[in-house]
Amino acid sequence: MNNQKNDCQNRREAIAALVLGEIEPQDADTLREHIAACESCRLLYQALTDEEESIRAAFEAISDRSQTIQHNLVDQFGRQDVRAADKVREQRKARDISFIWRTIMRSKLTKLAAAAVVIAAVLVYGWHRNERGAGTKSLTYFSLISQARAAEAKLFYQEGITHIVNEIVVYATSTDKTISRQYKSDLQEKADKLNSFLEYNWLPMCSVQASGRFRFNQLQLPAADSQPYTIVDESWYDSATGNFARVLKLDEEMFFANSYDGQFVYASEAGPDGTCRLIKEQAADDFTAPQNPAEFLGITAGLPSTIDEESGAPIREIWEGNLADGTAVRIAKAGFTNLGGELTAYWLFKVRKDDSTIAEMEFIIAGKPQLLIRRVLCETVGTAGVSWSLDEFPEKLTAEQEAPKPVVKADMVIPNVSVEHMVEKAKFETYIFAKNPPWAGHREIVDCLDPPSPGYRMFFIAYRADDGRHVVMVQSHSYNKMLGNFAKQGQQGQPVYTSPNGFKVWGGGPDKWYSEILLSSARACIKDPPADDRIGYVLESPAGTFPALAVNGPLTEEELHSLIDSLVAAREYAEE
Amino acid sequence: MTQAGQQKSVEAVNAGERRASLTPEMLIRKYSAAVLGLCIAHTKNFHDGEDIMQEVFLKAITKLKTLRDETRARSWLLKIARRMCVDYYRQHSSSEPVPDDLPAPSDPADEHISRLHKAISRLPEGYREPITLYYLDGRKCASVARTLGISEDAVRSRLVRARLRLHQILSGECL
Repeated sequence: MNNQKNDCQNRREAIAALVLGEIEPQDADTLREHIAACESCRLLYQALTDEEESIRAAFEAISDRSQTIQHNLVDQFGRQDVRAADKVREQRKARDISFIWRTIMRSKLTKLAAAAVVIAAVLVYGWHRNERGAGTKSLTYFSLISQARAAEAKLFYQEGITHIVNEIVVYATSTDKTISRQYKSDLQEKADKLNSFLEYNWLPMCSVQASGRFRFNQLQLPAADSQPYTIVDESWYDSATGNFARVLKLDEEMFFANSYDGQFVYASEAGPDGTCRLIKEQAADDFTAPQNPAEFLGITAGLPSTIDEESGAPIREIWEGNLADGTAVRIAKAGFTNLGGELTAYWLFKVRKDDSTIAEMEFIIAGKPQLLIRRVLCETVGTAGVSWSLDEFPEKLTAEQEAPKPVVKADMVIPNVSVEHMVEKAKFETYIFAKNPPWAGHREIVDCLDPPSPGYRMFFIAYRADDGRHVVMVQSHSYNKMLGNFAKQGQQGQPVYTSPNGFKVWGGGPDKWYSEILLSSARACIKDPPADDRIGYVLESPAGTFPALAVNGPLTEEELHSLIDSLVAAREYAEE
Repeated sequence: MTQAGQQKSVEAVNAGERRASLTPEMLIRKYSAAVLGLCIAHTKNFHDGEDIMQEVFLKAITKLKTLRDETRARSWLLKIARRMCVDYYRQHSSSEPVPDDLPAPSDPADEHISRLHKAISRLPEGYREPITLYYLDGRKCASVARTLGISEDAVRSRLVRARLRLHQILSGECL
């Protein structure tokens, strides 16, 4: 009896296969004979057969329903080309959705702002990474390929004084006010503050300080009204003495300069009132000029990047082409994709095939060239075109021009700052984990400019973990504005966690996308590239700020809760 | 050009043609049922499944140019759908889980369908997709196998087990 029961138990799968028609004919015949003789098997067969009809009906209902949705989708964008999908995305703004980030990224303006942050992130990483290198003042600057890096450095090691002239062309579309206006109406006044970011483009710009260390600044480039304008970037370097000078000029007028005359270091600095003056400082006793002049002079100066990292490199394509004068070059396209997987903001690096130096770098957003940096001259001269002490620099430049002029703002990035520094510099409530995550170790805070929000600073708090699950939290005015305004529109979205200390944790959506940006930005501290199983969250603090959190690996619910529960106001933390 | 080079060129052209021939409309018409089925299987209800399905196509169409081989379109779409469902799950896996006892639809037929899909969503993950795709694909194991990248035997095995488990859930044997 028991044997028969076991046999029948073993036949259950075969009976299901019979009902589904997924059994060999000869096996089916044998099984049918058994079913006819066995009541329990007959009952199972009958039940499965009865259900089968309703199951098929249920799936037919899905097919029918999909047909209806199908028509709507095709009407919306199926008959158009692929670009129409983007239009649909814009048109669906008002729809009530549960994913916060879906709403956020529907705004083109926000995408542009996000693109700027992404770019900042890459550069921040590059600078920061090298600044903290133990005992070295050397920057690993941008390099497309190692030969290009070597070739750029080689330019400065010639007999006599090396003179290099580059041009920075700012195109008339650079700030894209058309885009700004077009989307302003959609976002109403919420976008006003973000719009200010579109009023200028920018480049990193480093200078050498009296200590011999680099200072990381930002070259702000106002929009060109109708015609492109060109900044001349001129450098001289004497390999025999280590003396150098670099000046940036617009219409023959200097607005940035940095030099070393063997005794003093000279650097221009823009004041908060818009004026610019030259600061002269005695070189420190242990001052030594940075070993590689290409790190702060020439076309690659100030453009460090993660682009040459073996993993996580944002190079998308490399192909061969020619410059306008016919020079053969290799062209690399590099950048981070946006949420839709599109590469809307990217650099094109053009490396000469004959000597491997970088001939041009072009920055493009939404298909429109924004900036072009190109080398126009590289020669050896007997005397520098300016004095090493920069006597030619105007005593005081005022910013009383009709149109905004390019300006170099100091301290785009300040690595390794204290909690007290963060509290003092942030113009909003900042938070910090009261204790290190149990799985992570050393904490590092980096202070940098918040590109979409002039006047504000952005703070990265990073923890490196032995198990690879590094933690990065970023707090900024831009995030508070962007994430806050839009998060509140997601009425149906539910936080994944609400902590006793009043934090709401929002997850889901494109967390892979933004967590990659956060983690890439903090590579200096965490070392490892973003992992596939990284996760991201948007936090809503009791003060109404919106820090973004990324973890480079999976967290248990308990770990996440513990992490969030330990958040305290940095102000209180500093006081303790 | 060498024979191997020519072959590569031909393959490249063919791949380009395969990619070029797939329009957004074709993508939607051919695969919407499978995508919807998978989304419903993962989310427990029609409405969320439909929402996610639309997002899946929106994303897929903007990324269509990245699809190198049209023959893999279905797998590619379902992969996107799966990821979006996981995101959805994360979004809803808070301290307040999605209730099993959602308000019953007023139409008895809808109620039955809803009950069935809820039962499917309770199947183990490895069973949910094979059984959904099987019924939506005109009950062809070969097609399911191609989509999921597993053997026909594996599909058949998961299918019959899924079907039995579904029976247990529907009949209340498996609560």
